[in-house]
Amino acid sequence: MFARWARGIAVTGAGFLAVMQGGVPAQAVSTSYESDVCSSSGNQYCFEIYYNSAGATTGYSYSSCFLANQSISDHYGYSPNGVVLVRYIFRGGTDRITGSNPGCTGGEGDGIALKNEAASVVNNECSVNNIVYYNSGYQGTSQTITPGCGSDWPATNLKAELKNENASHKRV
Amino acid sequence: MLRTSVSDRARGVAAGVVLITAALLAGCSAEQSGQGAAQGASAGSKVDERAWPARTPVSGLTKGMVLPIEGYLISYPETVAWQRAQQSLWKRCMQRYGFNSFNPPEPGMFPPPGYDDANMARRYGISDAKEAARYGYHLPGGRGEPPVWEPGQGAERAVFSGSGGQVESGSYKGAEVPEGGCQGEVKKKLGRISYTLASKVEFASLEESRNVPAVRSAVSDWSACMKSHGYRVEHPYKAPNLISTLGSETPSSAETALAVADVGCKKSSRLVEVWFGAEKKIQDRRIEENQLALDEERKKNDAVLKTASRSNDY
Repeated sequence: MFARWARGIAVTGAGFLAVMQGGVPAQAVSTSYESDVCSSSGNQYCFEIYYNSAGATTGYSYSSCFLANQSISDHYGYSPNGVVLVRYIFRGGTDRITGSNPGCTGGEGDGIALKNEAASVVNNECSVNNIVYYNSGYQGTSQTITPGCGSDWPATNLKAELKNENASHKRV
Repeated sequence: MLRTSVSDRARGVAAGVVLITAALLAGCSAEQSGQGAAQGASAGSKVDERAWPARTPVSGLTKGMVLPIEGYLISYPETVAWQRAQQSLWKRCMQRYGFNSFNPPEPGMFPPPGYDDANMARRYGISDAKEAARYGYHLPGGRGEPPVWEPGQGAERAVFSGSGGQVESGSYKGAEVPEGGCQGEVKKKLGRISYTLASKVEFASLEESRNVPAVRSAVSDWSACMKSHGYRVEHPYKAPNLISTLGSETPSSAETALAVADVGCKKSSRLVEVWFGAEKKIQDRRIEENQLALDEERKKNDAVLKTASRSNDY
């Protein structure tokens, strides 16, 4: 399998040093963690990426999630200046989305790295498709999710090749 | 006509221009938080369909390559047609309640690199030498993307979703609101594009082809070639891990140098050609094994797209 280096590694916690994938500098010493890059008020109209698959009966993904309404070319994170490192992670525990969507409530996956760890997605943006890619930089096989504008249900399980192999996503 | 037939699609006729122009992608992402007006897209902007990805890649190492399963996948133009219908139906419903400014930004302004989920242009990683030299692993044309948009707060949102203080006992200002609001009405009317079998054939060939000796050999040759350029990397999918500038506005010189070596080694190892050939053979077999079910799945999606087409013609 490819790129399974991050599997199951909880990345939160003090003192994490960037022993990193690839070119993100190993000397990066200041690490922060981001699980919400969605500007929608109450997170009602976001692209939601879940740690768990959709429930067979409920259609919802009760687990930690990552929220976005911007494209991300590398789900690992980014280093804006080679010193600071921002890691993307799942967060759960409390209901992070207002409205009737009960997703993103469970604790499973809390603090786990986003890259190569997602199982399902919900596109609650209103006017864009979100496409998930196997590789960073929008490369490899992909899966398109049409917009549900706050009521995208049931959640879409990522196809087998992308499950736990998500590396980037693009709004189109 | 909304879509071409499966046979037309499978022929892989090049249509349109694949290059995503810098001009098209120059728009900035912006947030909207009010009454249904988008910011970030220039007023009166029109979608330039010539900038959409072509059915058949027109440049690079994947030029002319179309996988057999692509005839069963939903293409970017088809998803845009579906979105246009969704928005058109939303707007008409909202207008019934007096929300005449409910107007999501039109889809199709910021196309993806691939024509469909097979993502041929970048399926085996980047494959265009000219683009690699200029953009590295970044997409050509910059990082512009569609504006963010959501229904306006208050009554607009309540009528759209069918819930909220302004919708009382299922009605708004005396007019009955459909269950689930305008959103619920459109969801029922339009249906949703869904394909699992075609998708399975599409990705299963990638998985299976990894073990084809010719593919393994080509990957090994590619890796050896990369080593001769000073890069230790075992697989093309891992190449982007060697650089840290993917999330930056522009590629660094280190990124473009890596990308140039990557594509150059793909060419000398014939990796793309060999991998595509292996996948094609696997997909031909799997399509034959699942022909009826694939046709059935495609028919269901065609019905959704036909409904979309009627909505757009309205």
